[in-house]
Amino acid sequence: MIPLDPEYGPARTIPHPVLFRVLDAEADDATVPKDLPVAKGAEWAYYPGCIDYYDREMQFSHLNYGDTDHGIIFDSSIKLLKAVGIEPAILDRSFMKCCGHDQLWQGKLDVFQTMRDYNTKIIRMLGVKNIVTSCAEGYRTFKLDYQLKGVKVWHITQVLYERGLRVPPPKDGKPIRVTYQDPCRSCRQMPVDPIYDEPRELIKRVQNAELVELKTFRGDAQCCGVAQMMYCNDKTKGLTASRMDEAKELDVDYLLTACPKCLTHFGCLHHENRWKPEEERYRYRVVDITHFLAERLEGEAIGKPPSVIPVAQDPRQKGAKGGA
Amino acid sequence: MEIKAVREGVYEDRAGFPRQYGPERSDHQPGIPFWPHEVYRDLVITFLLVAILFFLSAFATPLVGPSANPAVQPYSVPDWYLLFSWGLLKIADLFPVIHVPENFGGGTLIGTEIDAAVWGDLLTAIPVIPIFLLPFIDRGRETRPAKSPFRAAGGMYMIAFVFFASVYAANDRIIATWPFIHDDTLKWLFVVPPTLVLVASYVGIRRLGFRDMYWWIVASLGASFAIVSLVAAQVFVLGPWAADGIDPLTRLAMLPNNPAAHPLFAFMIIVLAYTGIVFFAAVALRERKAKQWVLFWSLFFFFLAVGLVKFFADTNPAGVGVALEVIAYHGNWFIAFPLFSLITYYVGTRTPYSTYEYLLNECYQCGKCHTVCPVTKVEDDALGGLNLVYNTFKKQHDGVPLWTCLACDACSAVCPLDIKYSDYILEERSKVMARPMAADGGRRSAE
Amino acid sequence: MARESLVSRLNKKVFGYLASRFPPTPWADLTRRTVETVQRQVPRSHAEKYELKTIWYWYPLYCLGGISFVAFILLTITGILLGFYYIPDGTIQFTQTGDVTSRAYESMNFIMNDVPFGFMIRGLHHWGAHIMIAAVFLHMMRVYFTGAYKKPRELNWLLGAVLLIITLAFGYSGYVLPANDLSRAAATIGINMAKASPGPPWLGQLLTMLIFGEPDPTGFYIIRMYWLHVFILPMVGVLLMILHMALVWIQGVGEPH
Repeated sequence: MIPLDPEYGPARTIPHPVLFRVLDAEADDATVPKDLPVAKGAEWAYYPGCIDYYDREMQFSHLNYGDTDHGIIFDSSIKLLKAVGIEPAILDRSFMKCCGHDQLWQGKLDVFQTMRDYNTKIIRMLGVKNIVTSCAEGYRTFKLDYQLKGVKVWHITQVLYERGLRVPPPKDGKPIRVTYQDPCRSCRQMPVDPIYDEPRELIKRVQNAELVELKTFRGDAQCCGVAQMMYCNDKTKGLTASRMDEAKELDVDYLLTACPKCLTHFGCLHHENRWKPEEERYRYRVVDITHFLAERLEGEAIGKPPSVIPVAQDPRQKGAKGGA
Repeated sequence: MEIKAVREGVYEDRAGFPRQYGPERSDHQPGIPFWPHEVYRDLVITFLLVAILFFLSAFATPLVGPSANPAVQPYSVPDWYLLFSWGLLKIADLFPVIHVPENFGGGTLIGTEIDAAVWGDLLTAIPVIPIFLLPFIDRGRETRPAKSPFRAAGGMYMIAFVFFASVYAANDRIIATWPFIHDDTLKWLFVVPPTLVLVASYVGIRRLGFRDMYWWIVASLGASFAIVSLVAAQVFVLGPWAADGIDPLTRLAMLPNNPAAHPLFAFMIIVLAYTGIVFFAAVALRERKAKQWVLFWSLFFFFLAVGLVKFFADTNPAGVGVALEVIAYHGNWFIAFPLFSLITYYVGTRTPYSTYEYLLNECYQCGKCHTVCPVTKVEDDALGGLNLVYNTFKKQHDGVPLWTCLACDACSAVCPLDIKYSDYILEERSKVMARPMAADGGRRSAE
Repeated sequence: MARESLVSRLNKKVFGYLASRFPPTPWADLTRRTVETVQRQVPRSHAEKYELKTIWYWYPLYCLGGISFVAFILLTITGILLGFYYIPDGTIQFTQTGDVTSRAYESMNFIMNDVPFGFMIRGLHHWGAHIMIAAVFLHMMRVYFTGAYKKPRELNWLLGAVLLIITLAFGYSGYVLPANDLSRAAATIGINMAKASPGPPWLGQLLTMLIFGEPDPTGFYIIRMYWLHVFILPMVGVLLMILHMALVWIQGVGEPH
């Protein structure tokens, strides 16, 4: 196991209990807003889930200086959906609640049920036919634990695959090695419609990307290390680290995933390991698959530049003093 | 885990575990010694049994009774274990007498007719023949009732059938004690209560198996309500208290002027309302609320019925007599079905304790889950200390193992018995954190 | 102690006596192997073996088979004692006061009134019979509900079913013996049922004669029932019970999961 310096990185200080108290408090308010800022009868709806929450309020991407950028998943997904001709209604946090996955798995079934009832009511009110999510946990929760009748639940990779997303050839033909982490929620835990092949097919459509598989993949894929935001300690980091080491051994340029939680944990460890440049272990980028694909599409550039960091502290600038 | 360390730590010198390993071992069935362990255990139980028998012989001594007398028609009932046969013999005259024609073997081969006595023999064989055929009919591998509810419910049906056949055997004594009971009603005991027991057992056992219940409860309670309504309608249409030739609507209109019908009418309304309310609660309400409703209305109607009985006994004894007769005549419908509704509702929606732990006990400890669990790679592994499935069996699964589980389902993916360990984690965690929920995880949706 | 214990000296004396008269090797070795097998053959249940902290509510019900057997032993002993006094003659006779009686009935009264603790022995036999039949039924239900009749235990289940019939036959023949009102009623029903057996008419008559010894209940049936009850059924029953228990020994108890 990698000896991890407890002083590494601010991300570890994000208080998960606070996060969950906030979400639970939100769940208590079950009043359904009268006017919803979205048109009714939308065929397709995109549910971002907690990613914009993590970005705006928990400030992952700011704290990690862009190493773990959640908000970009949102932009990427919208761009990708537009590229396949879908104009989704966006079900964001102003009128939807958290899907409740973490509360469910933490055992707080009553909180989960409140959230589920509320979200289901809104979905029915809007008359949505298809829900797309870019989160593997959201996919499983909507498909299995919500039991929405008459509404089809998609993961964004499934939509893109079915609709035949085309990725234009790259400007520079430099070959890149790419590997993919199968999220447990959308693969192993789904008795119907697991998502093994769609992301792989989409990666294959990127012409200069060569897909290599990690040591365990598809149904045997090892978990990223932390689930339902329960723990963050040396041991769970050890699991994440062992997975990232597998990617390192394959000498990849990108580690892709389809779940923002996996992204969070890989990104957090990735960032911690860059804090001291001389000790940087993981020299590949960790991105969500939507971000990866959207980067390669034409059209407007996605994402926002990372927030301004004082030069003296930015570890990526030469001459900066390392360490906090 | 080294086998040596395991052996020393766990298995050595304990009766029940092999002391030899390898192909040359000769102790193929290690167990507890017969002497003295098993002998002592058996002696205790034997002495207990003998004590009970002595007690019974002293205080409930069987008397010999009068001698067998060919001049007197014997009026005795067989011992309890043969009562079912006696009851079936009594019912045999309901069956038609079949005359076997000559060319089908009548005469010397089969006999000229199959009459009540022959039917009686055939009927007695009914509970007995399935016993012999059972291992050839049921070839499934599943032994647990929760996983084979139909077989278990079938067993309950046979037990109920034998029981009610035995009850029918005492029909003359029942009618002698309670004259308002009619023999026809008792004849229906062969059909109605065993079927109700079958359905209620099936629903209850299915619940234990962690399966979807909604449509089963709705169908059985709906059928119950429908049947009770039909019989009630029939009673009103063909009511015995009114004169013939009057159409039902007029009879209903005449009801206020017919005090003899009032207790009966009140009772029927109670039965209909109760069965209807239980049905409605099962269909429309969420489980927690439905349970409150059913409890409240059961108590309410019970006390209402008791109060009404007292009231009518004082003011309208003739009406009570009529009501008793009609209700007793249709007792299989008016008494059995509401009870069935209540019992089915209860067993179909109760929160079984540790449902998933029960299902988890299919595990035969092959250890594959332990091998793939990612948590065991990083946590200390002291003699399988953090293997979550083993720890469940030792009831050490609360605390660290329960909350350290990632619920990544790697274990479920390799389990040869397809045990969904993450479902178990969910249930155990929710026991700590949330209100107790129904076995389906409260999955019934808000609408 | 310089000298060996009393038990081992006694042991040596007894074995020495027998060994000098019978060739020791075959039976001593056999005895040793049997003892070793028996001494190690009572297996622990799954829960005991792995110290599973789970209480299976139906583990106590696994004693029911054993209880039937213990009850059977008790019935044999009390039956032997009763057999010293019971007279299996059911022909109708008359007392000096003109009441109907029979020698069987008189012997029953003798047991109840004149034999010291005869009523207790008869009571033990009577209640033991009820307990045995109840235990057999409950045992059958336990085996059914825990699915212990499935492969590979089908033959054992069939043996058990035959034993159930034998037990019921024991009970029936037993309460026909005292030649009281109940016996006569039971015999009448039995004879009528046997006569009405489905099949050719001669079958019914044959069965009636075989089982009861007469086509109408005059009292001769008692001797047949007696013979069934004290010899035929015990011989067959004991054999089948030993076979039944041997199969359980060989195959192991079908545990609940």
